[in-house]
Amino acid sequence: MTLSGGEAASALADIENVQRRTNVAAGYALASPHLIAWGAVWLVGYAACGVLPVARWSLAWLPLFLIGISASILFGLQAGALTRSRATGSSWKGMAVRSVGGAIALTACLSCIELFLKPAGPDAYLVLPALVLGLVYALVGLVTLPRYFWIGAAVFAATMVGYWLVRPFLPFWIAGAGGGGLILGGLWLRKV
Amino acid sequence: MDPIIHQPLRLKIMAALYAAQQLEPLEFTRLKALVRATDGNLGSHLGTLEAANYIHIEKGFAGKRPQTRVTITPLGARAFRDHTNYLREIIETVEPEARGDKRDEN
Repeated sequence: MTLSGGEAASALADIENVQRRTNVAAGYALASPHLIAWGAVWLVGYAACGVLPVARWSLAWLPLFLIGISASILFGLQAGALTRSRATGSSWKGMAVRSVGGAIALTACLSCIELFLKPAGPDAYLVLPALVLGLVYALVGLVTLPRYFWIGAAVFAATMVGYWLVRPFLPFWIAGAGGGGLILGGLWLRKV
Repeated sequence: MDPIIHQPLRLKIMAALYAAQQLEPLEFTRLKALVRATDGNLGSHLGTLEAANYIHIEKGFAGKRPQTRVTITPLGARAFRDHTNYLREIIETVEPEARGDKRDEN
């Protein structure tokens, strides 16, 4: 039995589709614990902003930021241990480097915005990181991993709703909607 | 042509397992979602691939929940590569012929 050119092309297209879906699912599985960890960091950090004076916010965020980076490195090492016998390790190392690098780049970007543009008051300081992160995730979703778009859009929308409608409880709202949203998003990524 | 891999669903199963071979073994429900198959259909084709030694099926438990994990074997990976090379060769053979036909028409 021999195949026609059309049948061969159709079979190759099927292969490509399944392999793309498999790679995306693998990317989600690797990203899931990172998102859950950063969601927890976010939840605690914003809740701390709700109870601490503005001058102490950065003191609360610094250790949390270090915890988030440590967790990302740990998840990278765990993923590497699971796949070491089969893999070159490039995928988990790449994920760890992207996660840590992304967190540092985002922090540097936000610091520059805050330094040069001076957000108008504490509420603006609270919503700015959430909006930028939502935007970044939405862009990642549009370019490569579609579910990130919905996670980013949800964080962005929840932040705006909080800014307009729940202003007196804004830090707690962003802690729940943003941090909780990231945790739920991380759990969602586990499902193919 | 490899008649075992050629069947459309088995081809998709092998494609998914080949792509995932550098990661963890694929769990049955995840594989089912990736190749968009039903439980019975997937189970039957996995049996055929396992009988050919193209895949390895590992049954265990995740807590109290039964779990079936599937990996591609080195023999299966080689057979899959050979089959995709065969498919590409067909296309490469057909394309020059098609170009030749067009030139003849002109």
